[in-house]
Amino acid sequence: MLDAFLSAGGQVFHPTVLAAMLLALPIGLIVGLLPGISGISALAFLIPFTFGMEPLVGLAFLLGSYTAVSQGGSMTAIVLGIPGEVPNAATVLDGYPLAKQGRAGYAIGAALMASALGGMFGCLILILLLPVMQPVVLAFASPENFFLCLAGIAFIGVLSSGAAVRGLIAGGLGVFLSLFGYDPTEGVPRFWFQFEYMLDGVRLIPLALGLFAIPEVLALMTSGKQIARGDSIEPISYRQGFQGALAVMKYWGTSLRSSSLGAVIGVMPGIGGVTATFVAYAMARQTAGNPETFGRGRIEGVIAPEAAKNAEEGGALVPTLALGIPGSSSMALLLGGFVILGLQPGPEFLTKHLDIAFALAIICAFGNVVASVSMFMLSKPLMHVTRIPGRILAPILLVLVVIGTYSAQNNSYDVLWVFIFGLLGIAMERFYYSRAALLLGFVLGELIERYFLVSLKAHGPFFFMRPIALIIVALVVLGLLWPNRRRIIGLWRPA
Amino acid sequence: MRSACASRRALLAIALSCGMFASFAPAGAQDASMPLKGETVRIYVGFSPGGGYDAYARMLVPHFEKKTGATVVVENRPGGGGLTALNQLVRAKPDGTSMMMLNGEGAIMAQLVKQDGVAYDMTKINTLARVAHEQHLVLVRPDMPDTLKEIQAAGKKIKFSAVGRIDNLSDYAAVLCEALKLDCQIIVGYKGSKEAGLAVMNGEVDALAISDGSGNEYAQGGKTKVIAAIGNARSPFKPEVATVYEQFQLPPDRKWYMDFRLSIKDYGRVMVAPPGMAPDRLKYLQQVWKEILTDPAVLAEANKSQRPLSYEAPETLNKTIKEILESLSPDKIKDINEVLQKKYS
Repeated sequence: MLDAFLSAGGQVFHPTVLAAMLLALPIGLIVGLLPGISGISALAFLIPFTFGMEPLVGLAFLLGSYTAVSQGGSMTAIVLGIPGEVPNAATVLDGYPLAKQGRAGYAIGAALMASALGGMFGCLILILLLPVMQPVVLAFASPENFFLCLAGIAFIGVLSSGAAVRGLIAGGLGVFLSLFGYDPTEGVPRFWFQFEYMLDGVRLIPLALGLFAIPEVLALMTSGKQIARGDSIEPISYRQGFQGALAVMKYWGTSLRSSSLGAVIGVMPGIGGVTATFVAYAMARQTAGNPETFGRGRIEGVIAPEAAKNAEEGGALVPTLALGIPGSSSMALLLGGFVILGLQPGPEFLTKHLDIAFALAIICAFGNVVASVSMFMLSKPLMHVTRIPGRILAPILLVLVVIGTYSAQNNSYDVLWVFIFGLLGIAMERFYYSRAALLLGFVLGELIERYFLVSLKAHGPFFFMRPIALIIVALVVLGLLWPNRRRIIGLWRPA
Repeated sequence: MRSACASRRALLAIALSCGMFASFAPAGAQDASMPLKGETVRIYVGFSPGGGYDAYARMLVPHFEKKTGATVVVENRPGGGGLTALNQLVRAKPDGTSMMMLNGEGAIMAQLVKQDGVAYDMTKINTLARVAHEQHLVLVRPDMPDTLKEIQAAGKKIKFSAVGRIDNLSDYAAVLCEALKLDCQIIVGYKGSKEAGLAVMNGEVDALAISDGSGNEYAQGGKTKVIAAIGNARSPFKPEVATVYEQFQLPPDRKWYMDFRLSIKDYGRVMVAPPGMAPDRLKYLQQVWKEILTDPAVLAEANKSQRPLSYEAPETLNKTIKEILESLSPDKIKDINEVLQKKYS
């Protein structure tokens, strides 16, 4: 085991492997910075370049770009209020208000440090779980996944600061939108109005970009002013970034909790990054003091989703390597890359190539750190973006949003939908309905329906009587009651 | 000074006109033996990047470009389980610049059971070549009996995992249950075949009918075991495992469903073009694909990346489609619908 680890270290720090990774990082960072273009697109674009590469070199190339994408995605979330990738939407909630206050650097520093630490934590989990990962993955079946998604729904009320009812309404609307198109179990299309596009229902990328990007673009366009305004705009400097990075250390509890949550969600195939980031955000809000100030620029609101997102990817490597079952859609693509490089992940992979598995974990950790550092160096020009007048910035953003949306599926209807959901986003912002709650409801709606029906069919009506499922339920109840613990304990005690 | 400037301008003009000429040259230089030279060809894939269909298409593109002189763009148009892309292909110009790497089995089944959203007719679509086809294996949990005979004799209910009501996973499970008169429940709703495989590994279901490449992969490490091959021949991945036909002497009426489904399997992953193509263009494309898919170097490359090719001529495939889609009586189609979609739900 130690031999394998040492050999992995030796292989990773070979000049060609490092060179491949460093070559891929800028591509990942650029893809991440473009709204709507996801890590999946980056991988799909890069896989053909790996033909003929040595397996580890090829994998370093792919993973290197992939780890960089999410760092890029959080930057646009903070600086522009537009999630670079859908899971980055949670970072918008507090990151963008900070940018508006002229403290983009502070948020960027915190996001990058949290991403790096979260990513390293995820990889650490991967290394620790490698020898025992199979039973861990296999312990989670449909009922456990169902309760985990239900936990996400339970936190929807929490997401909308100070307006739980409005949050639930928005979440309900999200669940409603998830019901369009093929139903997840029987494959019968619902509400498709004989319109071919609607067979697959509402798409995630137009929804996320419409809700988050269009209102911001419109605000910039109509006001014509720069993003960072207000009385206390700090000068652009790396100092802000360092302060942000230090904040991650200050709120180490939030970082650690969010990273653990992210890693656990990553281990379970099919739950995904959006759930990880939003649940981590909600959890941070529940456990912090003055939860009502979340959504107005709390640094924990940036740290939590960023740590969870990068830890999730490390976790997602677990089922990918151990069972050949991808932990996320990007992992599915990575799995394709493995096969092209002549490696077959699965139970045999760990016995035959434990060193490569360790090497991947190291690449993943190292890639996270290098990506964060290189992004940090780019942070100064990024902070300048918040000082560009809106009338110049808005048209550029609009073009990027349209291209990002179209490129997701090469479908021009998606572009139309971005504007329709944009109107919804504007209305929601105007009337204080949480857009994040809608997005989480949308993502979880489909998963809940799927896992509930499969659990019911496979395990019968008492599917919830499983130890891990009950533990998840208990943790959710605890999480929801936590802010009111003193009141509840007070009720318990005799007066 | 002035003359230097003028000569520089003249050079620029020459360079520009050369550039313009060069950019127009390929279109002008179209010769009869390479009618697609200089054209941009789109190959549709009905699924997201990274899946099997996408990988096959991307693997074959460089060879097609080399043979035809065309520039090929692989367009992922996911939606409707591949239906959307096929519906769009049917509406494309039939000049050879649009093709699709199609899940032929899925397309035929969807048309047969009149699935919502089908706007194509497989008997009219131009088949260029079969790229690959797969055998199917029956996988069970390790604590299940070692043979189908013992499972049949035990008479207990068997749960199969599958993705949708009409997909390879549930179809093969249904015809197997029908042929062997097993007490089955097919649980649909798993996100993909890998998740369906995971359900067998974690004990949520008992069995899975899956393509041999994936089945062989899941059976490694002892988390599942392979007990039968569904097909007329054994799988090259598991030559030691006998087929259902070897293990059982089935009466014709029960064997029919399995034979029927296996005949669709022969259509496999197929390259198709829109209906209404000029005969010479169609013939040219069919010939190009035949040369690519039977080239030993391409075959070796495909085997290396674990995406084996198995070319079949369009004439044979067209005959199969006609037999399946035009010769079945409405009652028989109703029967098939009942077995595949309702009986084991």
